[in-house]
Amino acid sequence: MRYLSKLNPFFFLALALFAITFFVDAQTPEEDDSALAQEIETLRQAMVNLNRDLFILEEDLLFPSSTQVAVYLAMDIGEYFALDAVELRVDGEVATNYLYTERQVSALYRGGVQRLYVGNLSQGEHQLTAYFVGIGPENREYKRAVSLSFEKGEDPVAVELNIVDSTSKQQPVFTAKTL
Amino acid sequence: MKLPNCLRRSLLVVITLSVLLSTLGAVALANTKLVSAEKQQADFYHVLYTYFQNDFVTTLGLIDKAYASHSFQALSQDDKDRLALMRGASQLNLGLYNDAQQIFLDLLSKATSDYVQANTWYWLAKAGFDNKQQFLSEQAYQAITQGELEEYLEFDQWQELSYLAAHNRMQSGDDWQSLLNNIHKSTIFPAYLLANDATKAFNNAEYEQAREGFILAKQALITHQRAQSGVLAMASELSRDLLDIISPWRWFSSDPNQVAERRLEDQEKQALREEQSALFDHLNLNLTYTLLQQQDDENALAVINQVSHEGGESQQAILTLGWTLAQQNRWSPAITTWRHLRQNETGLFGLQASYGLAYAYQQQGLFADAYYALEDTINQISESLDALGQFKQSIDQATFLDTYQTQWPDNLLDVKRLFLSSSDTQGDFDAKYLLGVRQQSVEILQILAEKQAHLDILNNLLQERELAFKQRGDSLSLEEKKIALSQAAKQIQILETRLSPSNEAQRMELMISMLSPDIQNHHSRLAQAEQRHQRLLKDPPRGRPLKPSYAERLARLEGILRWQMEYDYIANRWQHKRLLDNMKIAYEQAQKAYDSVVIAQQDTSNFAKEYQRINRISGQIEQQKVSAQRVFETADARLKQFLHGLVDERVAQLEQQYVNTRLARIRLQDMRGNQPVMGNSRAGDNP
Repeated sequence: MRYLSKLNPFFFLALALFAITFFVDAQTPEEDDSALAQEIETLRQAMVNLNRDLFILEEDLLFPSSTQVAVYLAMDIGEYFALDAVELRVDGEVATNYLYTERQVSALYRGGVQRLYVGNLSQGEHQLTAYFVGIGPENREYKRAVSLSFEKGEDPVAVELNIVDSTSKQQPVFTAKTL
Repeated sequence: MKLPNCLRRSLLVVITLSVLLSTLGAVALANTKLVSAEKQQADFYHVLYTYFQNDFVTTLGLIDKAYASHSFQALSQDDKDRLALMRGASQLNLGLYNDAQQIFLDLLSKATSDYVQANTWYWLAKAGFDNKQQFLSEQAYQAITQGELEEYLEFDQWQELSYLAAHNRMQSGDDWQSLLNNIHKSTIFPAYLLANDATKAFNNAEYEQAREGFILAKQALITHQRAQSGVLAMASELSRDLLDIISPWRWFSSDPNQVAERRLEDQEKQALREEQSALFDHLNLNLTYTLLQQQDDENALAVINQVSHEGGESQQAILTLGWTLAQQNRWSPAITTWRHLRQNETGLFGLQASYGLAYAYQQQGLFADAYYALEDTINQISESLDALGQFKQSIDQATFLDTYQTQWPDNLLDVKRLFLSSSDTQGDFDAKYLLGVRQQSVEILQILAEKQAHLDILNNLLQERELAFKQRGDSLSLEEKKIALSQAAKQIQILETRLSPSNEAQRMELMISMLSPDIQNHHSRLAQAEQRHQRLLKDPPRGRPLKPSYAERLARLEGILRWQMEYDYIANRWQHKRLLDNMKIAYEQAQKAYDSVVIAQQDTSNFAKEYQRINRISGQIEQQKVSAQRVFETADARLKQFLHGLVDERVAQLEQQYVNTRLARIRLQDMRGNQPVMGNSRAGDNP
């Protein structure tokens, strides 16, 4: 957001004695710009609301609460581990593979929690395994896994994967729990 | 059938039925449950994550969704404030200035943490700037410095806020230089502030101050460019190093996130370069005008040559330079300047250059040259009038404003510049703004069409799901389950009757049926012994009586067994009654689950509810289409009306100039008749 002033236009008129004027009289506008501005802002607001309604509707339809499973990923400071990718398996099947951009890793460092996966599972016992790939201590390639068994009931299940720096072990620690 | 087996089997059947029916009815029974505090925290940090991704639409969607689910009740007040801050900032980034401003004002009206205070002031200043309330930036700056809240803002935020406050002070004539010293030289802000200050001096006819100001602004811009290129080079180098460290398979990654992010970065770099270039041109042009005012023609020419021709402003400057020289009776450089312009430009500037040349030649007594220059002018005016006529027709085409950037005729580029800069001279018409509004309405209409298509997909999905649900319901043999439940109820009734005997015979029968296998075995052996004893008593050939001790022994055993039966009866009956009670509970659960499944099977209200949601959203889309179309048509009509006005005005001016030029040519012919011909007339010319 920057603002740049313009030179006084009458300066040009004074100099260009014989040249035709470069500035024409304004035509009286039929409507005020501010009314149009208000209308476009109302439209923008309506678009935001529409997006929200569609977003919620889509989630409700695609992932009903009775079958919904969501996996979140949170990260600590990341001193001992620079996250590169995560592979998620549910009941042995690959659910998602995710490669992280710098912006995404930065958002995780700043406290953000990513919803890594959302899907549908039948009710009963399930096994979730996450493989973390990145750069560990001493700048070495690092790959670790964490597993969690959980029971899917009528309610949606949320699982949180956490990467925490353990200062005592000088290593990253990977955990998984249901929320 | 023995009673225990019967009971156990019945119980098993009922429990199995209950489990089966409960599973079937699970979907129908899904209710809103309490959301754990941990899940609420995760939702909050998920919002934070999308916000840091600059995905503002999703951020707002997630906030609304989570509020509908649990209202973030478990969150601390500070986190709730931060959530409100994110909502406001997201709205502001989506152009919802009024809503955003209201959220920030609400936040400031209550006690919040230092972080929230600092960031709310920052975002309020930005909202105020966009909402034509620039005084808010000064308020924000004062609040942050007085509250010592700078540390809670990021470097870029603090720099931007300082710039906004300095700009506001400059506009209101207050001390802005002290703020300039706080702004880091690596940012582009000093260049803007110095340029605006120099422009102000120029408009006040303080040309020396303006000259110094524009030179300082150019230096500030160069400093910024050097700092930026250094940072970009370092970032690029770092990024390459990082890629070397990371596993080799990533080199070949086609991850769309990476590609999209890289593209975004390239766009940002390109936008920054364009901004720097446009600012450089602007500064050079203004410096040229300042130098012209100071009659420093040589430096003015040197500076004007640094201006790129793409913006179309350099031609205006060269033309003005010619007239300035002419005013000073410096005809030779004036003629050189105009000739250069005539040779290199078509359209208005070429035309006005030839007009200037005619004037200069006439003043020098070079009448033949003046005559040909006037001829040239007349021809150019005719061509311009033709071009304007054709252009006027093309304006009325529906797609004109969609393609004007590439379709605009080269010889009318000055009209384009005039059109796009109309806000400079007319306060109540802003072409760039209206073009922006028009473009936004086009994009909104496109998005609405996409949303409608998306909604249609969801509608199809719902239809398919409804069909599948119906098929699954039809395939469920609930009739069998109903019969099984009915049989179980009858069985319970029978067992209940049997467990409550009304006479001694029934009681005896129940007692025997509940005996353990060992006792039953003893009981049957005793019965056999008694039968044998009776038979022996009646056996005449035997001829000798049985000992009475046999009968006594049998009676004693019968007594023991009877005592044992009576003893076990109480415990057995109690145990069977307990089993029966469990069976009744299982039966009730099964009946309940069965009822739920029946209700779920017959109840299509869930689908009806979803269809209602789809229809409601569809209605919203239609309504917004109408609104967007109205905005589009309004902006389109006003822009075209204004452009027609510009063209009509230009036509009227050219027609007037055409008449004047012809009159000038006639006067020149008269003068040539009275004076000897001078100048570089072409051989054979006979005007």
